[in-house]
Amino acid sequence: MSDAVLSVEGLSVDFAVGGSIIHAVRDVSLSVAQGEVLGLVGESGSGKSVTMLSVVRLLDARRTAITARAMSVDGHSILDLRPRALEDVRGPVVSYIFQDPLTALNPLLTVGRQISEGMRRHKGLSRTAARARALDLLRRVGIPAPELRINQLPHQLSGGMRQRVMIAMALAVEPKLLIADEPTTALDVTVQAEIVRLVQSIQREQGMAMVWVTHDLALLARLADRVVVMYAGRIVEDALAEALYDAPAHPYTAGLLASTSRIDDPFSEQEPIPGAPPDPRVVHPGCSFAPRCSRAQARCQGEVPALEIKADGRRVACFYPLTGSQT
Amino acid sequence: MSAPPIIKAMGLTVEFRGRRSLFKPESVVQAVSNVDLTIEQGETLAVVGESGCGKSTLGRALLRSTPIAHGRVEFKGRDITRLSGRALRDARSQFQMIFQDPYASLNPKMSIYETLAEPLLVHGATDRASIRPQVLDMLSAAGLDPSFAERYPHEFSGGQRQRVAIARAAILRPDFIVCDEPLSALDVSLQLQILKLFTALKQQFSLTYLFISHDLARVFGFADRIAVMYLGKIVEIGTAADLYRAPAHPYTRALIAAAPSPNPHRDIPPAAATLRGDIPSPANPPKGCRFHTRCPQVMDVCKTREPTMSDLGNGQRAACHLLTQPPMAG
Repeated sequence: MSDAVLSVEGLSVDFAVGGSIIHAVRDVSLSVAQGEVLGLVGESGSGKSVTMLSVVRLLDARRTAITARAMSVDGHSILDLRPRALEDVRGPVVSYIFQDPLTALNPLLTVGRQISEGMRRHKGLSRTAARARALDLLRRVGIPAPELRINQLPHQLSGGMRQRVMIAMALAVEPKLLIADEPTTALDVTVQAEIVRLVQSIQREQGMAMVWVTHDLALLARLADRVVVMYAGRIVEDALAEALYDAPAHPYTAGLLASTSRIDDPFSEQEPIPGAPPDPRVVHPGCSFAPRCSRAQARCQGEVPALEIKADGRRVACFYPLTGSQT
Repeated sequence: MSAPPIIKAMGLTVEFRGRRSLFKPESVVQAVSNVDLTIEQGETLAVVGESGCGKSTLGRALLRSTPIAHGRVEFKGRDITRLSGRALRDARSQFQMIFQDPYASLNPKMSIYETLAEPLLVHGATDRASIRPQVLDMLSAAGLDPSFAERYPHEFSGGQRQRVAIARAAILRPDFIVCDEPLSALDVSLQLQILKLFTALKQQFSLTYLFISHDLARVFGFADRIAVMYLGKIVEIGTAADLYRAPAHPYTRALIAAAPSPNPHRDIPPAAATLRGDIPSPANPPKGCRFHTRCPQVMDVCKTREPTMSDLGNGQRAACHLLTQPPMAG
């Protein structure tokens, strides 16, 4: 794992909510190599965002207990860092793009000032040099009339433009790892397509590692090299994108794929997954997916399947995985 | 089909007025602009478009839930554009609406039983003894256990709440239901379940839906016909099959090209079908064709003259200059 930019081993995150404890993330291990795009997919409450927020230590420490055997970004052991050292990691080592740019941007500072801030702090650029580069970046992310926009405040921009500003901010410091947490979920589909293309081309050009967090398996099909699927706080499958879409091994992955709308085949009958995701307050002794799973047997009710490496290199947490030969 | 359509809209226009201030003259936004539409009994018409296209406002205007500036709406052949008071309330007993957010659309202080009984009581159920079996039957039809009747919305997940909202809408056997993005707040694995419920209830109670959605891929297999809206205008309308196989408007093609699919082998959409830039503000729509600022096939005429609807056969219509004056070959 020496070439891994991000390496997480045995991460668990617990929240204290109203007197009870919620196990939001349980025993998650994953890694992302230099230049690799990892898609992290799951429904609401699956723990995908919490996993990534742990990586940048942005969870409220008073209400969260994070434990991990090891967690490092570009060689920095995240859990051991003091606040000051953490600030030097956030930005130049790992940048984060949030879903809602309106809450992530400072409403009182101009776009140019916010993009420049990281470059001045981490790269030691002068005010004028940082501004010139901010202008370049705005142009690069496809903002029309950047000379005008650089002096504007976030509320003067459309949602798509704000997200472009967030991307420019994240890229300004040339991070080793970019975490994009549902950055297009609030955007319209035609704008989403353009943003995905944009981030993808910059990622390839700079060769940085990227984690794209989403609830939408469709979005990752042409974007991710590898896809990790989470359900109820655990990883259930981790496979190369093509292998995962062509032949999902975990019944949940297969069910999610079957539920996802297909613009290239919209008229064929689709079969939904029965039931609903589990209540995170209720701890299930066996596999969390067993109550909704058509393949579940007695063993699944009482025992949690371990995430095992299969012959083709994929990891699957299931006692009775699909053999992977279905269409 | 000799019976009049359930809904017929002609030249329907809805305007919102911005507040006038010392520094700003009054601004008028045409959220829905000159829309013609018919919906037949038993049909599902999906209205698809991006934010600000006016699809929700159109749905509300058809139900007379928002003031109509120009044009008219007929319900089963009767003009309801100017109805008010009691006549409007009576007409509304035939309409229902289902909203996006089942956390906001259910009253937290009413049990599920009360939630479903209320529309029956409001619209004049006199035989109170008949209410209970109706409510329990409706709960099972919506895929909910009748024993849930005495529970409250907070005890349910998002998917179950949306089932309650659907049951509440269907219990009066309305002639027409507007569904405003009813899947958008739900997880992927639940969206398909709820869509199947819409289909099942439609068959059981012969319902007619206007189904508002931003997700074109989702509605192709569900709707009979699809209307695509852009900045207050219908740019294309036709059967789901025709719109998928032969989309005539560049915006329809762009929506199809931009929709992702869980298929890593799918061809990359041609550049001619992909859009650049953001949607203009509806407060200040572009002159000529409202789509011309983003259209990959824009011509000079598009910047000055608004296109009219061309009839493409089988009820498919689209408003694009390419259909009436194609660019020079070569």
